[in-house]
Amino acid sequence: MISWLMYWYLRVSAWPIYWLMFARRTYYKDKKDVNKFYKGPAIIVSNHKSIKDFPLMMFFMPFRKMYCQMSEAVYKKKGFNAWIMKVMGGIRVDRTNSEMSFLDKTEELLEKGKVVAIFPEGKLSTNGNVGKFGNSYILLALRTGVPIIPVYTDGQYKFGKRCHLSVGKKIFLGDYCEEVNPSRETIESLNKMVRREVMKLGQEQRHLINVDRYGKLLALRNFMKDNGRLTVFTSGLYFKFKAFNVGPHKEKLKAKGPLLLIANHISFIDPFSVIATFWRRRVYILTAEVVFTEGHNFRNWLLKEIGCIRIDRYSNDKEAFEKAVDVLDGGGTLLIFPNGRIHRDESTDDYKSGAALLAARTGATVQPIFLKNQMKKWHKVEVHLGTPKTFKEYCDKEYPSTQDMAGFMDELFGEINFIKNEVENNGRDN
Amino acid sequence: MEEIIDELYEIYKNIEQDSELKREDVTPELRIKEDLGLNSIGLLYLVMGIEKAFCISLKNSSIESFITIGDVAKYLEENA
Repeated sequence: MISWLMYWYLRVSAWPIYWLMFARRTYYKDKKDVNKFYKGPAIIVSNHKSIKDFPLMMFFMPFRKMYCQMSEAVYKKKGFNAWIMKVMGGIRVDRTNSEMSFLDKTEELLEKGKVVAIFPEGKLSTNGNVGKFGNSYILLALRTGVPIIPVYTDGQYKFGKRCHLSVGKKIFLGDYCEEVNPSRETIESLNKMVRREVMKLGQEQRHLINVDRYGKLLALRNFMKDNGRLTVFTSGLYFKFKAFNVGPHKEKLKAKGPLLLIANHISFIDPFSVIATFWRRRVYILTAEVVFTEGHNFRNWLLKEIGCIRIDRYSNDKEAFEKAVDVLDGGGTLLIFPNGRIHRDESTDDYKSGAALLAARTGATVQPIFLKNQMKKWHKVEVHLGTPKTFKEYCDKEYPSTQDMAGFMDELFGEINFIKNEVENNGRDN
Repeated sequence: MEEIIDELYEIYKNIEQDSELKREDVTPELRIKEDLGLNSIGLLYLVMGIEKAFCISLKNSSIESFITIGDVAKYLEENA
């Protein structure tokens, strides 16, 4: 009775701290299958990024007590710590010896209809990936017939940041294995299957976070970016940005969905020209590492806040590329200068195929833009829009090659060169 | 490790469809940059293919440590 009272007292009093600290956002694969009012027994199998994983998981089912297998490092053998861990639903697992009583305790709880959380990695992940899973939970699930609920957490437990939890559908191992004493290979393959489910949840979660982050209109975190847009828009009074060939009813400027803008790079105000033209959208810009100077922390922070994504042009900066993919995956707008550096002579010959890879990976619409060099006061900065294209229209293969991407880039810059020639020869109408 | 190298070879063939490299020629000692003939975008594409196939996320520091196919296969064996 005392333990029960203590548990609920601690849980209720910890709730405000949990709410402030974690600000959890939960994604359900199928809310009808598993949700926070889930009844019945289950084994929750999750990746392990921090010792805060279990406190996070505890509040996922707010009206049920969740038990958890805890290592000997957290759940001490004696003393106040041992009592509190027991009250909070801990099942002590001693990894230093081959004692298996924790399996019997877990089985007992599952047979009573309880929910038990297990972290089969057995230790914290050091590289952000889901480590190898131990097998014992497979034996528990087979013996008790209880469903496994795969869960993935992003481990984002910092004040001011939101942590995300993805909950998958129930897995009944009985559907895959009817043997009473399955072989080691069968257990391994079932284990791999559950681990893959957890990893897939992680990949899907990333997409959902991108949609929340880049696709939503109203959010306080976008204040700086929207402020940046307003500032750039008003700077148009001096630079007089003027867009050409915007389509009937300005349809190219009002395009919806993920949009990749590629342009030639003639001066430092190019990003301003494009942002002012596409003021209806929040534009993120792939910015060379040289713009982010060391020692200027405030300026670097400001650049990041207004939407600049730092990329190191001289190495395979996969992390920057991933951020660019995240923006487009979430339905946002990304601006790239494939030349990689400023060419004041409006040269459009030297370009890289990264934009094509982004377009192929995300299915974004690519809008080619030609910027006319008009660095004189009171003259218009001309922004000429080409025909939007998608990679799918160019190449329908399931696995496009690097040659296909190079071909797509040639087509995009062919379009930019076409606009350039038209502008130089004839001038262009709005 | 051989199964992992098989899968890496499949990913590479999808990226460089015109390549004449055969599976028998792909050994753990094969160098990624020098012998596979991939440019920076090709390498990025290869990394993305590996991440998708093995449901894993690779950091810049891990990628920089991959010199040969054997390095990649060993990393995937331990982490995927």
